[in-house]
Amino acid sequence: MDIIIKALVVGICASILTLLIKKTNPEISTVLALCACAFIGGITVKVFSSVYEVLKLVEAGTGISSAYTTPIIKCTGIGIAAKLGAEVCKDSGQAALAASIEICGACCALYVALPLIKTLLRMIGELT
Amino acid sequence: MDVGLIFKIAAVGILVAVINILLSRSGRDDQALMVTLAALVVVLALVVQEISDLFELIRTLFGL
Repeated sequence: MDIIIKALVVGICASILTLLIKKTNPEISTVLALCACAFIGGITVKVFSSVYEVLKLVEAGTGISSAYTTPIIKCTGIGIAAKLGAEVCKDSGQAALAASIEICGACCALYVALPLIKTLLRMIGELT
Repeated sequence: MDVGLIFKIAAVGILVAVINILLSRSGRDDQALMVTLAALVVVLALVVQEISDLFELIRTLFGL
């Protein structure tokens, strides 16, 4: 479980260095924060790959068809990417950009979940 | 993707900060801007590969 420690140390060091450079050239400090984000994101996504395998086992074991689990996984991926992008824009002071990225992420997630909603409606139709 | 990259970028940032102050003190503000632009290009060249790797990793892992 040293991953959380590594992420913590990198995050704190990067934020201190960002403060150091912010006064004279804020753009390099933003790029530095983005690079630290990429490093920590790289570690967390590797951890998620083992969670992903367990999800595959559950899917194979209980016989739930992958049509139900793939939208969930895609929605989490879209959520993570949209959140990361929006927060970077917010850090560099562009709140409108961040809001538009969040809206785009929500629409993409909804688009991915459309087949799920269709099967749900069909099931309800069959019940009545 | 190692931590050294973050410290490399920080070093470039500090170096450019010092150069900027020196140049602006001696009255050459345009050259200070040139130095900042050059440093930004160098830093972006270092970082853009890491960011594309991150989003590629997210894309392949979540099957997007």
